[in-house]
Amino acid sequence: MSVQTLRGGLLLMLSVALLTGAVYALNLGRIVPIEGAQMLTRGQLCAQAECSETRPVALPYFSPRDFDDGLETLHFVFDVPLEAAPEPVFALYLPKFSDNLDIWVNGAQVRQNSLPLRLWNTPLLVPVPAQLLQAGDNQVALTLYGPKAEAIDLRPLFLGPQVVLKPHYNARWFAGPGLARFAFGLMLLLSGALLLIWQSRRAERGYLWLGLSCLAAVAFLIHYAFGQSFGSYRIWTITWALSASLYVLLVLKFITSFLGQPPSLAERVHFFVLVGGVIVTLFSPPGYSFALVASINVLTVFPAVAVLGVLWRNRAALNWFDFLVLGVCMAPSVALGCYEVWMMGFNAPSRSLHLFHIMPIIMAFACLWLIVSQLVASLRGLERLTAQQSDVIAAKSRELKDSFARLAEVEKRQAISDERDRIMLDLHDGIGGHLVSTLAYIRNNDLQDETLVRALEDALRDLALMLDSMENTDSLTTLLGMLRTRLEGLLAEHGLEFDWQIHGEPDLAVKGPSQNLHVARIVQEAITNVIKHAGADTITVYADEARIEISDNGSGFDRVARASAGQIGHGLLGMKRRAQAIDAELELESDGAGTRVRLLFADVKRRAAE
Amino acid sequence: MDADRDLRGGPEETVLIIEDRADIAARLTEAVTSTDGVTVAGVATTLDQGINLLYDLRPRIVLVDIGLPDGSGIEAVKAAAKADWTVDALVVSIFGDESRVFEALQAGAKGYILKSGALRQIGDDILAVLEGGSPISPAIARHLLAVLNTGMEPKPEAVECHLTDRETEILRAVARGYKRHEIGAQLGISAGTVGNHITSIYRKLEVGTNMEAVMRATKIGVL
Repeated sequence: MSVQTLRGGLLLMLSVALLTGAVYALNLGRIVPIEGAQMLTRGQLCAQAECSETRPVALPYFSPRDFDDGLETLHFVFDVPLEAAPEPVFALYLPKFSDNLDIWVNGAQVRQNSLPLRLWNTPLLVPVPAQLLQAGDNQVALTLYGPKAEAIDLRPLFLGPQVVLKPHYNARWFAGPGLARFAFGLMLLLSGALLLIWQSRRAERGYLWLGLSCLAAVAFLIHYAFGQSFGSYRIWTITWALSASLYVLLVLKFITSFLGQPPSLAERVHFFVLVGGVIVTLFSPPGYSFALVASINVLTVFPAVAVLGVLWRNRAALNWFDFLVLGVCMAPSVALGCYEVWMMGFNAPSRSLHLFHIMPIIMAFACLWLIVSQLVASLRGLERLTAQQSDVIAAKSRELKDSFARLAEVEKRQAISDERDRIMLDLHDGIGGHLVSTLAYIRNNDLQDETLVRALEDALRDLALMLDSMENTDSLTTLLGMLRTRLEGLLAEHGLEFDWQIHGEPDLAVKGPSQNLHVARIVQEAITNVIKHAGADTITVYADEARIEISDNGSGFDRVARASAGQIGHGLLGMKRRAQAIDAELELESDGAGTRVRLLFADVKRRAAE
Repeated sequence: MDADRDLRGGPEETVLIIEDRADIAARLTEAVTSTDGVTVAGVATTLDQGINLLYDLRPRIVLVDIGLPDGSGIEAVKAAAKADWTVDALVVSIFGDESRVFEALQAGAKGYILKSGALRQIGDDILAVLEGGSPISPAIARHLLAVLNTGMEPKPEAVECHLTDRETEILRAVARGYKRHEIGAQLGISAGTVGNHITSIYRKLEVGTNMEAVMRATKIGVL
């Protein structure tokens, strides 16, 4: 045991002692004079039943304890002077005595004892018939019975009108057996419920310990609530007194298992003390039973403080409010236990009202709070989880929807792609095949028709361009690259070569395969014009974001003359038309240094923006 | 084939053409025949016949059409890759869609030629392959860039290989229509080195690409 634990333990002990002191200071249920009734505090204690020899006694009276087995019987006589014969119904009110009694008023018995009931915690209100009382002297005789080991206890009693005494009796009955019976019923219900819960959740031992602790409380509450006893004096004393000690052990087990802690040292030590105590008490003379169990209950204060210690050490595992509720409930519970131990241990306690039976009610509240709080926490967790789950489901559903949409898109694209492939195949193998066959026929048969050959070759090139533009939908420069690859051979035949200068992707106002095809046709037309007419040896193809320019180093042409001649006018018109279609501007320059065809994109865009 | 000697004095390299369309086959034959140093060893019109001829003729070069009546030309490319003599396969196809290009390159094709391109260029492509290069068209370069380019996001996990900056530069230039010697001049390296880079890109693709994933990504539109 470390110094820290020791210090903490001592501090807790001190706190419990202070609380116990507070309970003591409250002096609940103290017996004070009642207005309108006579409080009997002085009487005679008889040496024998006939009461020939008496000695004066003052109440409260406690007989000395001894270790004898058997029943103590004491006879008391009280002289009560009355000014007048009572008119209302009178009654005798005994707030506290032990354990049972007979009562005579003026020689007539008004109560026969109800042994073996032990009414040590139960007040008594005995009606006294009016005709029994008279003006002047009256005598009230009591015979008390109680176990010698626990001694006989008689507190001041009252004689007065029943209506005056009844409320006091009721209040005391409620505070004593009333609350004890309520606690008894509550514990019985709780133990049943908790053990039932444990049956379905065997892994959660907390329910078992709490359920069993409630059963232990039921055992000692029978003693507090009903005064009933079962079995021999020794067996019953062990049962009720040590069930309180067992209760502490079970609560300790509950709290450690609830907090997920390993069994504490206090738990093990207390278990052995308890078992040892039971065995020792069983094999000792019955007269010692009470003293032995009272000693064990004194020792039980330590494990009870350990419950508080475990709670304090694990305060981090609980939320602050739960800790507060538990602390506020458990500390007074331990104080009530100490108070009871004190009352049990002293032969003549200065307090008359037992409060220990309130302890299980407070503890039940604390433990139920803990369980409900845990339940609420796990419900919250469940809600959070459910919310998370539905978020996940929503996200997954969205993903699924997206992927369905994507799949549909993919299928659509696949269908388009398949259709495109089919058209390309048809164009290539169908029209392309016919063109190639026709060209081959012309060559093989040596038909000298250059116009026809050129037209066929143009058609083939145009077809290839179309196929290229269908294949390269996203990049104009790649389309130009493909165009170059195809025209390279033709250029070589005419002694021409490219000066290729592609610096960037032209920024068309509207992008798409047909726009690209327009551009490619313009470029192809410009290049074939150079091949056919310019007499150049280099064709420069320049492209950047803003423009495409095709220039040659030929002799240039007289545009007006050529246009009027209609030779390239038709081609130029086509180029202009195509440029318009793609919102581009076509410029044509021709001079002695060559011809330049410019296709401008950025300017057109900027002007449109303005 | 002692009678057939090219101008440099060495024996002519043999070419096998596997192409089911007669006109294309004729144009390919014509293109090969008109190229110095190579000669057509045979023409097959089916995959089955093509693979048989491949083993019978043991050509140096095989030109394969992808869409053959009895199967995919890729099978012939694979057969060539596994052959116990040196033989390079070039795929000739009307289509240049990504998945087919990658399939072919992964199978070990040395090049991919689009039929819509100038078929008369094929002779040059064959010579380039013989010199250890890998012919590549602008459209194919663009496809390669689309898949391999590090600039693309999100990057498909299927593509494990990364292009070097130089390789990206070269592919971008090819995609814009520049020729090897022009690229070499721009970058201050020889045309042969440019060819080596392209070959290297092909080989990277061959080893570092999960073909199915690329095809999937291509179809979904990630690439």
